[in-house]
Amino acid sequence: MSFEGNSDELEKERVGDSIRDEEDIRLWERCMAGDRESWETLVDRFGRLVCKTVLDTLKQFSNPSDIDWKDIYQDVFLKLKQKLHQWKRKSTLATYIRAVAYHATIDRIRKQRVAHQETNATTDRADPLNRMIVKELLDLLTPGEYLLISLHFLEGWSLQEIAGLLRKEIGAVYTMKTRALAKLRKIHLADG
Amino acid sequence: MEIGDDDIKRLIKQLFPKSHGGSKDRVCPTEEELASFVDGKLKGKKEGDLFSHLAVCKDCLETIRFLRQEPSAGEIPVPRWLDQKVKEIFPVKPRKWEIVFGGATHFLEIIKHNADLGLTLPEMEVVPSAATFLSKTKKVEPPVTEKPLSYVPGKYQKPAHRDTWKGFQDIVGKDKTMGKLFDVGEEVLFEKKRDACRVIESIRDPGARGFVFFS
Repeated sequence: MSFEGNSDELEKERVGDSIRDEEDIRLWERCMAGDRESWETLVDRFGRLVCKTVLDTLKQFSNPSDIDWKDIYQDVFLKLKQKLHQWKRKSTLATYIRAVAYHATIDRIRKQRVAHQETNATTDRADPLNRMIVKELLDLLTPGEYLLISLHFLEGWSLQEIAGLLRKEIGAVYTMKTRALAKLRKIHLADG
Repeated sequence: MEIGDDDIKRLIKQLFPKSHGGSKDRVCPTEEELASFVDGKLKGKKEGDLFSHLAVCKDCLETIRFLRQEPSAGEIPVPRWLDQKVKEIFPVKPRKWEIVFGGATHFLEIIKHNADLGLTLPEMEVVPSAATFLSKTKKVEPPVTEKPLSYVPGKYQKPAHRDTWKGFQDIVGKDKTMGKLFDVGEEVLFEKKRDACRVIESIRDPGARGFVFFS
């Protein structure tokens, strides 16, 4: 019984999500037509989400007291004004707005760091040799396997975390890992 | 020959580029592509391309990781002034009813004005030019000003009425009128408006920009 109840709730949630998506699309269309009230509705509907995204990003990557979140909040909406027409409805409007808000906040944190002359030397993986190696590895492994090996063995991610990222079952990730390692073993043997 | 786990780990460390770094010549996916991956809507080759990219781009990986998290709980009050400011960022087109209603009001005003001047209907200009309208309006006594000039810095509030607000926007947005202080009762001709507007309140803020509310 409880299973049926859960599936009903999930179904309701799914239907609710799709209705909300439809509403967002209609709101976006009205905004694109230049309707003032729709812009205001958009700000009312997503303002809190933008605010939370900005503050969460600041907490995660910087000291929130260093940067005024209200400035970034305005930046986000300025960016949305310029970019919203680029939204092709391939994602939900909420996630898209979160992505824009996240990037706007990261940009501001970077600017702040540059202003404080905190240069962070990073190893560039995009140099020609690395690109060649990456290309060869990608001929051998699928992109998913490549990402899995990279994250698991070099970045220390757990398979559980990777399963979350790839939106796969943990069992499927284990299988991917086994398959990728088998491929790597083969080339190791071939190279002697 | 069997290869041990240590061997394979060593091999991976040798083969795979050392660490994620900043992207110089790498083209990152768009925000929408990242968002659509997070929503589980990115499929096929595009998903594969994104995986290969995520393996070498820490920035995008962090973005995905962040977007996967639920936003923090709890209410964060956004100040009202900030919301208002953000709402004003967007381009504003007048609503349809404003265009229709504004046009009808304008037409009725012309009829009434011409009737006041004693003109019969055939003599009336339905849509007079700004110059003729101005010359005729000069015959009418200016209305008595409702408010004295009183501007207390810091206590200035934008007018609530939308028409007045539009006039306010017009006047502060033009170079010609910017900074000019109009007299109460003075008639001002806007480029975009056909008719003249009468100044009902004229103030100057500490930044020396002229603000005019017109009837």
